[in-house]
Amino acid sequence: MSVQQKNVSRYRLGIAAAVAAGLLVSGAPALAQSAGNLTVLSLGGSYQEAQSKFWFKPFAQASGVNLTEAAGYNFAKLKVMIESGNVEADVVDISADTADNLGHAGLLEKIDWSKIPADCKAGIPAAAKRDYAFPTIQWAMVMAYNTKTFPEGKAPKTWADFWNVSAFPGKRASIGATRPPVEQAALAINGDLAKLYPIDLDAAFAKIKSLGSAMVFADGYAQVAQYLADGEADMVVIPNGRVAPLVAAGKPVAINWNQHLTFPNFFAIPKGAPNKDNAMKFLAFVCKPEVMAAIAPATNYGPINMDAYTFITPQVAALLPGNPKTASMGREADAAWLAKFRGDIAKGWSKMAIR
Amino acid sequence: MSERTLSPGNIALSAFSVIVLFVLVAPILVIVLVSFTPGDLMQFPPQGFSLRWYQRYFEDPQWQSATALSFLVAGLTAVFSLVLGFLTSLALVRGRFPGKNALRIFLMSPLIIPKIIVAVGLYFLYVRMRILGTTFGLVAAHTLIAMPYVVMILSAALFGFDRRLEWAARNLGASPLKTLWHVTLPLLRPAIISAALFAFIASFDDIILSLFLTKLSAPTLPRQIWVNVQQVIDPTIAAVSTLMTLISVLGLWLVALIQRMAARGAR
Amino acid sequence: MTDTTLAARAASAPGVPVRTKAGRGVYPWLALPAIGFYLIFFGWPLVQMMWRSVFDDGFTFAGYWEFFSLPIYWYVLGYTMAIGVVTLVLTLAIGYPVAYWLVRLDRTWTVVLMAFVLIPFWSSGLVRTYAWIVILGRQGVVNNLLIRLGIIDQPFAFLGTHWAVMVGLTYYLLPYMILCLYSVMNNIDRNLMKAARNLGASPFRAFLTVFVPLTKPGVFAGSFLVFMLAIGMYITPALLGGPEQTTLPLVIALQINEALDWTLAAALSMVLLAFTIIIQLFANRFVDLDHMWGGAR
Repeated sequence: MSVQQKNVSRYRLGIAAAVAAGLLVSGAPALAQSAGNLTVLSLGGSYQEAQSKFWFKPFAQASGVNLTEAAGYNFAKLKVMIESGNVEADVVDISADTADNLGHAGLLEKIDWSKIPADCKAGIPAAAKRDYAFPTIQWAMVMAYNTKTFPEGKAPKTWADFWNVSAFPGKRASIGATRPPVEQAALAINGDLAKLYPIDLDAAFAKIKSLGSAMVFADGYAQVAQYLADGEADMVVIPNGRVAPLVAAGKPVAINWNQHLTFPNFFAIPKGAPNKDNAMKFLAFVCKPEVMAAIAPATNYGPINMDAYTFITPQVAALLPGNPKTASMGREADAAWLAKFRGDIAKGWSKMAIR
Repeated sequence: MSERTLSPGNIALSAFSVIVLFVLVAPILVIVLVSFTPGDLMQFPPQGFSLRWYQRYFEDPQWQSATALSFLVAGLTAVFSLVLGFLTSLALVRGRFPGKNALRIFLMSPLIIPKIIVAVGLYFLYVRMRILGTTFGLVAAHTLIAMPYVVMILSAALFGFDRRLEWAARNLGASPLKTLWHVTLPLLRPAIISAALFAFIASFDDIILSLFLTKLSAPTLPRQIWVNVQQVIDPTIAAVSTLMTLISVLGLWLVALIQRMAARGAR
Repeated sequence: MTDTTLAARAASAPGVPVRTKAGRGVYPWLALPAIGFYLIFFGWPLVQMMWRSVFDDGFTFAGYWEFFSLPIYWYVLGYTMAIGVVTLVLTLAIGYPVAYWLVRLDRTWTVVLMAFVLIPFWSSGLVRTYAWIVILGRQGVVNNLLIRLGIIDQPFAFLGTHWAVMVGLTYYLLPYMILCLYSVMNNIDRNLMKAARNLGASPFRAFLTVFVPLTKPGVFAGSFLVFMLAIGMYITPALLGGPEQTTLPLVIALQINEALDWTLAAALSMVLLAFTIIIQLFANRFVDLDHMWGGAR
């Protein structure tokens, strides 16, 4: 992956070019007439703030499209929205398993890959391409820990360590109901990443349960980050981007990249979206490697398009999932398996109520 | 404090009550203090003083439109459910008809059915009625969850109501409506106020119905808070919550003040 | 039953006018707007969900079968009801003395102190629950205090325990209970207590035999409200509890949001509804619903 090592000057050049292009287009207000509307639905918070700054607003400016942002949905709301034919969003930021679920149910528009410029497509690994969704960034589910509780040399290295309460005393935290740490539990049983899937859910849930009161569950990732920050937990299962703000705030936390799992995120167009054409135009705009790269410093989530790394400084690249130093320590999560067993995972969680 | 003496029992009762009242407001105090933190995290006690999280609220028009929408919807919900609930309570308390107990249980049911079930059901209904994402649709949904409180409080008050006062008014020649306006409603005022309060709160604090039934781009305040905490638990929500409390309390105080002044003026 | 008591009360009242048949006949019709409203905005969605609970690409009782065949859902239902009862007992035990204390204060004081009860209402429930996370955490206010007082030497992990959920629920629902009790206590004629005292009863005896029975409507209304709200709460157990604090509404929301198994979610909701109706009917055998709604006087 030599692309990532290319020097900073090219990165600067790319930014300059992007800015120049933006200025050129915004200097032509005639284009702004009758370009139509576009509603983008994303996940809110600082993630969407970065998207808004580097993706949504520049697109609106460049194309003249009247872009509305919306934030916050859940799977059920998305599904009833599309099923009922009352589609309010043209582009939705979704996870791989949601994309697969909705795509198979026929609730997503096909992505017209022919409308995506060639220089956008070249760097996207074939495995990441979907008929129904356009891959944007990837994040990693990692282990993060308190460096005061576990100083250098005594830090947990594997998920087996995470489950080893006697060798690594301290409180653990993870998101609960909506995303129980079944993969991590499976890896604690057998650390071989290649043999992770299919996961034996019964064994995984039994393993999770075995932690007992050493584990505290949160309702969302933000709460997990909060637990890590205020010392409620010493070791957590968390997306890597959530740790960056804590490090920036001077909290004694660090990421253990060993046995991490990467998850791609996608832009998808819901079936029956009112502004399909603009949605495709939007994809053709954000797909450019330099645009894709722009949110990496703020979010610590890495572009899926390998060409985008040209526009990312080595310092930032080192923090992203899939960077050369850590890439070999993890693997991609099997979205197809997740999509298929989503219901079983939810039921498995409910069954944990009985001790 | 006519009946009170300084007996040990009374002192213990007072101490206990003061502690309970303190615990009731303690989380609010924590929220208020956290909202002034200069740091990025919800941390207590806060390290220093800053207004940055308030600035964030006032710089984002979405927060303000969400606040306005929430107050509007909650106010309308209170009015709708009071009118509907008052009529229903009159029927339940003073009417005689078969199936009254069944009707009562039916009227209480929105309290029991998980909101998410109602939300999904209403979603499909609203799509058909073409009122999805409208203020009316949300008000109707919130009226539904407010009705159990209103009916419960108003019927309790109506039961305790001394009807001789109404009969006296009627005997003196007042029309039924006049009696209602000048005798019944003023006497029920405390109950009407608490019913309105509960209805307002039922709407003002609802996340789930709002999540499904508002327009994606026009959320209510609780939904906006919910979206926010999904991503980052930062002190913005503490600032928002503090402002929410401040606005409500000031509003109530103003209403009380105006009422008192009006009453004085009338005298 | 209502009408007999009302009629009796009416008959015993002096100067009762002859109520016209027409006047009484109007009242039942006043329920019609609400019934219409409910049928559209509640009945329709409910019927739709009921239909979903038995129909998913053909008739199925899979949802109900899953509930009845797996002990886990019975356990969760039992836990939900237990949470409701414990919350009810706690709010009543704490709220009753407080409401009693508030009622006996000077009016100006009552207004000021009632604000303490009401202020929590005017703050987001979600944010208040997060405040409890901050308060109950290992580095939180409570643990710091307990450690400083020397009661414990290691921070106690409240979060994710029954304790945290009970504290959260009791805190959230206490104002409801206090308001219900207060509004009834406030209407009790204080001279009754004085009369009892004058007749030689000790203050405590007067309280027990005169005051407490008169507060029954408030106790029933508050208990009913708190129980129903407690078993339906979503945010508090979700944020403060762990897998062992799973309540039925949490399972239902999880089925809808994540598993998309709406057949099961709808079936579970119907079970929950049926169960609470049974409880209401059962309560009705011991307490006249009229009384439960504040009818006794």
